[in-house]
Amino acid sequence: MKKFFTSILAIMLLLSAFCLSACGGSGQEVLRIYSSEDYIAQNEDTGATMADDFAEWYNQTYGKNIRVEYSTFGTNEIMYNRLKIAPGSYDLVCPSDYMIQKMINEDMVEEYSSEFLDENNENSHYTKNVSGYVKDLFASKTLDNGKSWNNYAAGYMWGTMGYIYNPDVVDHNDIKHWAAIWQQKYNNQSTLKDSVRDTYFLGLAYVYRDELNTWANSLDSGNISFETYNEKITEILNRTDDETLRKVETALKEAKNNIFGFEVDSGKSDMITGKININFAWSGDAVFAIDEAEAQGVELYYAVPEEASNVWFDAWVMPKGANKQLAEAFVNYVSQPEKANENMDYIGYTSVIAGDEVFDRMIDTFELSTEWEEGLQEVDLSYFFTDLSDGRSAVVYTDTIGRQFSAQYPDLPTVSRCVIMSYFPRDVEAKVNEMWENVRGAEFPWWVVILIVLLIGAFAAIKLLSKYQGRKKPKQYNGYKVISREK
Amino acid sequence: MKFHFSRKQLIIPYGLFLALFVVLPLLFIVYYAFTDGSTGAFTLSNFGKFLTSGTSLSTLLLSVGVAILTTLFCLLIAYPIAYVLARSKMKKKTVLLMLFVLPMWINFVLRINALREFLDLIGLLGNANLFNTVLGMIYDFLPFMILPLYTTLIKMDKNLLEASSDLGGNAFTTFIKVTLPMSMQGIISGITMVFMPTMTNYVISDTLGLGHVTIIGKLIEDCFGARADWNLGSAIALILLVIIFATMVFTGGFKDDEAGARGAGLW
Repeated sequence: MKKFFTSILAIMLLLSAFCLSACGGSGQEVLRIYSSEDYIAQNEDTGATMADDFAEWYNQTYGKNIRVEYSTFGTNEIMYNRLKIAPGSYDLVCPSDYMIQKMINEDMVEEYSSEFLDENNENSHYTKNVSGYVKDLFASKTLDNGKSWNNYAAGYMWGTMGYIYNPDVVDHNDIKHWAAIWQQKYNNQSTLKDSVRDTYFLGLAYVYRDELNTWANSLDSGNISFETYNEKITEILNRTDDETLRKVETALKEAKNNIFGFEVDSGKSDMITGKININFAWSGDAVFAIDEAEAQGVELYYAVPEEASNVWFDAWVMPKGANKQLAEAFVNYVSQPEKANENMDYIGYTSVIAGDEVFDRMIDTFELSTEWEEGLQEVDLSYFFTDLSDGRSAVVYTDTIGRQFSAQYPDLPTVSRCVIMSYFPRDVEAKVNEMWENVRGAEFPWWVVILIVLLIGAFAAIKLLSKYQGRKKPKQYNGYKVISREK
Repeated sequence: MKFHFSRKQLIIPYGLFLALFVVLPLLFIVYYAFTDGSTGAFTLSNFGKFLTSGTSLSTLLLSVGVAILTTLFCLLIAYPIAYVLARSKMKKKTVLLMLFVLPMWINFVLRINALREFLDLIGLLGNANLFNTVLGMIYDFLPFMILPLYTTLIKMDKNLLEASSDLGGNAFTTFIKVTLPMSMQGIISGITMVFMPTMTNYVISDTLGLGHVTIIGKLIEDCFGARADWNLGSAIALILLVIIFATMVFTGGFKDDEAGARGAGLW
């Protein structure tokens, strides 16, 4: 029965795909990409995305007629469901870290070829240009078969989570702690994400803030190694036991009473118009919001609170049955430094691609200096720009900390206190979702019960009244005969 | 082969539409509602999950409350204006009617966001979430109440009103005994057109209630989006369907009884 229904659904999905490809002409190869909304550079005049550019470039370079179908999803879960129902309907998808982990575990993805991973291959733009930081991080995520994330996923964008805030109203020191949105003085001035994973993470960081601080202090005083520290905070920020869930639920309910609202999109514009002054946000959105606000004369800042935060990655993976050759060509195409720059300029998020061209773009865009001058602060980005040519130093100097530059390229201390949040197993996920529903949901609305009782009462009263009136006998007058109505 | 055209063939386009977009999706919902997500086996646990969760039931009740308030106020605002419009001898009243329907031609997300800015301007946004949500719903659904009321009122036989006053009924009696029962059809179709969509229009509650007002439509959206639990989502949708069906039967009974009896009483 399940087979029957899912196959109907799959057939319907596939039919639409087939029709599209059939109409495009015979023998034409198609690359079907599934990615987040607004996640690729688009030419504002022609409306062509970088995916369209790729098709053109490929046709010219290889003399082969290919076509790119680029579609978008709202959440990782929607993408996952779609792949489950109609496996093989996409060649390349771009999910987040936890979803990649889940998909690898469920054996849903293809491995990248050895040519793709070969640094000496001139077309391996991804492998040649990706930041050593990302490569090492993916390599540290090893699997049972001895391979790592690097074999299955090619990074695209990455970033942190933090607060965008308006320093005219919000104290820089308050924002150093996640507790800011719980503070009475910022009542009705902040927003949370209407997204269970992100807000749950914030809840964890708030509930266990003391514990996180203790480990950070031990690290600072040299009592524990960085590895131990990282292990400890990763454990804390991935807790899902019942007691933790209860504590987070209580904390988030408190937060709910103090915040302006939950949002996924409106936060950026609400910051600019001044409806709110603190916005829990992804770093890429922060870059965008700070830019937009600046154009309207509002100065916004972005900060990653000191307790700890979340570092996330979105990466290209090839679902089972993908056209690997085309998919890899596409990943290499967008991984060329100039393409990475184009994407960063367009969407505001940080590309995983490092290298001289990306470094130079950063210097230009954020008006950084490579030499120390009076009044400038030093930012060491050597952890990210690992392969600059001729021994160029990745240390830069700036007079503005906490704005677009800091949001796009977090410094080493910030990144060091960030961890990846793993995916939840099915039963845990159900519990977390239940917790989230309780946070979002209302107290029992007694007024509705009263309203319904009143309505039923009024309705019954009208009914009774009309019945009573119906029984009333017409008055009899002398000389007239009343003819009784027939039923 | 000769092609015989008959009236029966006229239903083919809609028949196809009905099968593809009404019956088939409904079957899917029923299938998902009664099966387990991972195994595909028959189960009632989706309904159990919903009916045993206090928060889910509170959410349902809150949605009913919002829908009742919206419907009630829509009726209170729409009836007088539909009445006046239908009765007036004004030549340009279609223009006036168009003005009421005009907002429907402007994108609804745009209108709701405009209302959001307006509420912010007068300082209500973020301070009266439930009120704002209901206000947004009324704003959006009012035309759906005005139109059916107007059409039934304009179709009403004016001779009946004259008959009523000939028989000594004053304006009030005429309204209560003649106009109101005769317009019951319009009231009921207005109610069904407002009540049902209000329970599920989470875009309004999210935009104006800022996530503090969670209605049942949001819960369903969550199940199909971030929660990726199509089975629970379908079960909730089905429960909602049953509730709506029940209210339809209920109001339908009301219609037959009231309008029928009164109509008969008139003669």
